[in-house]
Amino acid sequence: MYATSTQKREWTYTPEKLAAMRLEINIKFRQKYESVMQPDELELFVTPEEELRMQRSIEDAALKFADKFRPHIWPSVKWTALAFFKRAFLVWVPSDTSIRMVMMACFYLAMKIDEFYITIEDFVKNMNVGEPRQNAERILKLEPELMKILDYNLTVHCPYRPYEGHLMDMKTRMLLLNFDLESIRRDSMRFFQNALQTDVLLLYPPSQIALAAINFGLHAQGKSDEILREFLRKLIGIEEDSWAHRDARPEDLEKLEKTVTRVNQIMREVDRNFVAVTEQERENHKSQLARIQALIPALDERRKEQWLAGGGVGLMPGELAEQPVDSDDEIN
Amino acid sequence: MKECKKCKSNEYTNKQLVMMINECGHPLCKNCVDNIFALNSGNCHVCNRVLRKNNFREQIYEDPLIDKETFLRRKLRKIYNLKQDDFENLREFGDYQERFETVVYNLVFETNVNETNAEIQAFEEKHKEQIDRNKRRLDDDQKWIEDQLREERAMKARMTDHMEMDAKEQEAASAVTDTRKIMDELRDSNVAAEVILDRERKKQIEKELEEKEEQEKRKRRNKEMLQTRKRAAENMSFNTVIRVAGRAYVHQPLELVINGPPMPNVSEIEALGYLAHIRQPTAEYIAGGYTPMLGCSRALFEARIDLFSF
Repeated sequence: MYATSTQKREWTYTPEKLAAMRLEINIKFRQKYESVMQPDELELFVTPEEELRMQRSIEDAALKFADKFRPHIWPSVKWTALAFFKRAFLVWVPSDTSIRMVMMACFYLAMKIDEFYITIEDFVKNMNVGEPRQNAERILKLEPELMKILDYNLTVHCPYRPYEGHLMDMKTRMLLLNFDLESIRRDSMRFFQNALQTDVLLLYPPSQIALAAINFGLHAQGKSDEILREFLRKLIGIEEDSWAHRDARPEDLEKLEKTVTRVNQIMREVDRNFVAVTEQERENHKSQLARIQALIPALDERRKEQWLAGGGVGLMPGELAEQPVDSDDEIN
Repeated sequence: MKECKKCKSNEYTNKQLVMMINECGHPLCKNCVDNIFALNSGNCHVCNRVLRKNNFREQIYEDPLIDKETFLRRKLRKIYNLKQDDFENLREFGDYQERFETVVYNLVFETNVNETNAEIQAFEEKHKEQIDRNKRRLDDDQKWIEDQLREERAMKARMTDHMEMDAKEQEAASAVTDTRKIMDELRDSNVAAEVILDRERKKQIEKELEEKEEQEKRKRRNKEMLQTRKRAAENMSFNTVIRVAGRAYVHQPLELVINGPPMPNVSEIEALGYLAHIRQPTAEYIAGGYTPMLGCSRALFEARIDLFSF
């Protein structure tokens, strides 16, 4: 369950923490090439905000890819894949990797994790860019690297089942509603789709995201927060018409208010941070990434020459120091 | 389970228990035999028969009756050793064999012991010449057994010869190859001959050292194994009381911390009408145990987990 999961323990952040992590990997990437950079090449390096927009661009394209995927995939595969993608780029830098192939590898891995059986041949048939065999090789090569960067924490808790739970609760307890609750489903699904292009996956528990989706659907139908408050009162067990009970349980009232505040916060986060990616923006990202990735091999070459000119002391730049592996197979 | 009736030790309390048995058929452990028959003769602890110490033998079978029977049968075979051609027809030979079985039965179960012993003596006197002549003869069964044993021995010898020959051939082949390789290198290479010979000598020394090390390792392992067995045997306790360690397990129902609204239980889910809002499973799913309650409980549970996490 989510309360004991690695998702809660390792991959849930505050907004400040997220921003700090993204800034840190960006700075580290710049420092790597600082000494061998020409002044005019500096403008090619992007800011963390621009990197984030590049990710959104890829996420937007990925959601279109998922909708067109055959056989039809269920929503939790999408959520799992984008969770992997967002986690991966808290460690990797978009300029340093093929961000599109990383997304494809995330989808392939998510299909395995979510028990959506598909072969790599059928998977690459859905990709309309590049040669199928080459795509398959690159995805299969990326998959173990992706798992390693995710620390092999592969279980992702999606908000779709909590959403069904909340909806069942509402249908059962709110008998006096004079409209069909199923009508909010389409708007809630749109909310989830928009949320996939924001950071709420990394900030909030699935049950709260699901409740925000329900409230979003209610708002889209022209209802107010009062229905949500009524629902939470029934869930918690507060008697509405009793003043004595109201005063006797202030912590329950506090929980109710905090939950409503949190739900509104999630809705605001999705509304503010979901900015649709335009075609022009995507083309800009594509050309910018192409220029950066053309420049990086030259910079690597310069670093190597500099290292050799300095006497070849220490590790060659870019070479990974292999960590010793603690193997249970070793005989003591 | 082997157990000495006199001192009550058994094979679980005494790992080194050795049971001995005499002609009366009552088992006794080796320690008791040494104690009671220290003067080379004494009385059986069960039937009080006078026994001699040198007649004790190690008990082979769990059931002492079987041991007694095999002993008596082997003893009587020296007297009742007539063959089929000693009789005029098959019926007489059959009668003789059946009579032998009756004699064995009487002695094993000690029925009509005196009459049976008298009968044995009379038979021995009556057929003395035939008994003496048959002492060195083998009957068909014994011949067959000896043939089988001889064949087995021959086969084993043949296999050993084959393996030795194979090993020699391999050794010769590898030696030839190595020698040829060295000679080729000496002829073709620019390196000095001393260097090549030194290298080969070093290789050979290393190989010998490895073999020696392997042998020592194997020897050490065998010695350790023997020591372990001996130590285990020595440390075996005579104490028959088995101590019960630890506390009895008491089951605690698992408590899941929800940090959210309280979860309705199964009867409440049914009573409140939650199941009306979930898709009804097909008969196959229900047969597999996937009732609507299962999906409903899971969805409600996940909707509450950490809802009040701020």
